[in-house]
Amino acid sequence: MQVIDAIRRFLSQDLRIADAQTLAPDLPLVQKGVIDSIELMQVAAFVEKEFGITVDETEVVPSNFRSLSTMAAFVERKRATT
Amino acid sequence: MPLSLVALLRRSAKEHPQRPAVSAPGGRALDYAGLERESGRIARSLIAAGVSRGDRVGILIPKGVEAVTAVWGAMRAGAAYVPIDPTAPGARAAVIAGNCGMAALLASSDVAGAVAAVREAVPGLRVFQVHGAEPLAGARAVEDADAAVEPSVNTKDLAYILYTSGSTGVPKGVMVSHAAALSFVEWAVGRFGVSADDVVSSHAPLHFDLSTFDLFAAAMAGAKLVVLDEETVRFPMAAADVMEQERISVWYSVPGALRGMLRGGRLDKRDLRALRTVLFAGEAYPADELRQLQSVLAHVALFNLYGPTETNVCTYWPVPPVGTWSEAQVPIGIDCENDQGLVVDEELRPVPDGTAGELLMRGGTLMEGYWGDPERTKAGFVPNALYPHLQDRFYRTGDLVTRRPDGVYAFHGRRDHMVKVRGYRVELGEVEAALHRGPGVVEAAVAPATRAEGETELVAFVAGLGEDPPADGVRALKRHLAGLLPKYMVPSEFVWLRRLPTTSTGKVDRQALLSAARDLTRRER
Repeated sequence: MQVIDAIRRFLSQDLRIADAQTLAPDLPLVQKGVIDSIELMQVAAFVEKEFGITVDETEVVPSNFRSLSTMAAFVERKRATT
Repeated sequence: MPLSLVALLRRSAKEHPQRPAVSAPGGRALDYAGLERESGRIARSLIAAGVSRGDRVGILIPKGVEAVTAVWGAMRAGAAYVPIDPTAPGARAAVIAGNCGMAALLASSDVAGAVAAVREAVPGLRVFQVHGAEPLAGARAVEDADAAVEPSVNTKDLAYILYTSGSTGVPKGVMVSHAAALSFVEWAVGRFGVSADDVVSSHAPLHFDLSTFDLFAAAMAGAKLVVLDEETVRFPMAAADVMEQERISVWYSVPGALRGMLRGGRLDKRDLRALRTVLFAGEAYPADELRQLQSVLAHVALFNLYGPTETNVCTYWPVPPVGTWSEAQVPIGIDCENDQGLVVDEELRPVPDGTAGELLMRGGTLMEGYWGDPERTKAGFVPNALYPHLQDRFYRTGDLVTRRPDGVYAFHGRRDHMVKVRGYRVELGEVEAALHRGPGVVEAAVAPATRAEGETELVAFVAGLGEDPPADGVRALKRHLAGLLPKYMVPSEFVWLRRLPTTSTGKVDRQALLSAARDLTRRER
């Protein structure tokens, strides 16, 4: 939950996404147009910095960055292996 | 010459029924016989429900095989199809449906909220569900209505209406006839040599005019169309995967997509031997980045295409081999062979080569006009003074260009308040009109700014009654806008002012706002 909350805060405060605090964890953010391709790269850069992980460009794919919950799972996985 | 776009599908279905027609990576695929069969079922269902020739049929379906099939179904029913952005707010979908007097909607349960908004705006709308796992409340199913007879469709009928940003706050519907679409498609298939052996990308959304090349050039050539969905196009790595794995041979997208794939899609490490032609349009490709792309895709022919939705593609620039061109800005090229441009001054008098002026365009690809807006249509065209004996007209593009002696146009910008964001046209007036309706807003203006990465963003300047923004003002405004406008039209920065700067004549000082916007985006966020 803590990862999801941090990303929600980033979406709300830095990217100023309307109603970011109430986004459902499984909502496909990119598919539904909540974030665009440039904001997607900003989210990837944010999780790198915020959680001390490295995100390779090959990892910025739908299975990892589709929704808040896939992003959280990805971050947890990366933290466990570094 | 075929009489309509529909004839292109009929011919390919007859000549090579078993060849792949349209597919979604990892999803469904139809051959030409299948595409003809399924689009026929949609057409006959529409006809049986009372849709007749000349009606408008909306398409509100996420990008995929079903959406493409729906386009053909609507046209075979004799209707003009009206594609609606499935990621845009329902309020905007409703405005478009109301504006064009939509008779029927081909819809998906994936966007049930927007469908409900459209239905509310258009009483009596016939809704058909052609996509989506969940049942769509109140929608009819596509059925075998074999008794229904497809109407003939001829060159003068409207093929589609594409809605673009409108300066007065209401999107405007660009009406394109079958003749105009065919003129473009036949030119493009010939010029780029599209054949039945090609695999053509469908990257642009259906409400964006780039998509008409994808769908109709592929159908004319009997090529395979590979449809990228809304999610795939926003992930550079995923889009590049499709380019490689589907063995795309003809790719067409906005420059931003290619730039993203070059940076984050590892284009240089991929097997792209199948790729032979890359087309891009919608915005300027930064010249140095285009050279980088060219060095990675040395075996590929690159073309910069230009043309507002109103003219379709009307100029093109074959990018010369790497190392042989030195333009600091990528030109928009020469007239397409079926169009003719003319550069004029403010009194619409032709100017000599080398002098900047507004680009006018005539030819077979021009729109019929704006739906339900004869005044704006009239203002968009000027009579053809070059050939007064013809009942012919030039479209005023509003774009400032210089023509070189070799016929190549250099692009300089707009003569009005339209900007491009991610390749989409945005009339600042439409964003400002939406801002004016926001909570606590008395005055509002929007200015474009370019970020360091070269992306254009919008900055909103807002003045309210008090000195300070209301508590949570920016967030409330952003929420307000997100409910009315597609995402690319929502400003990324908001500045609250006591009042907007004005010039000595009392007008909003756009120059002051432009430089303020520039300063703002130069700072790190």
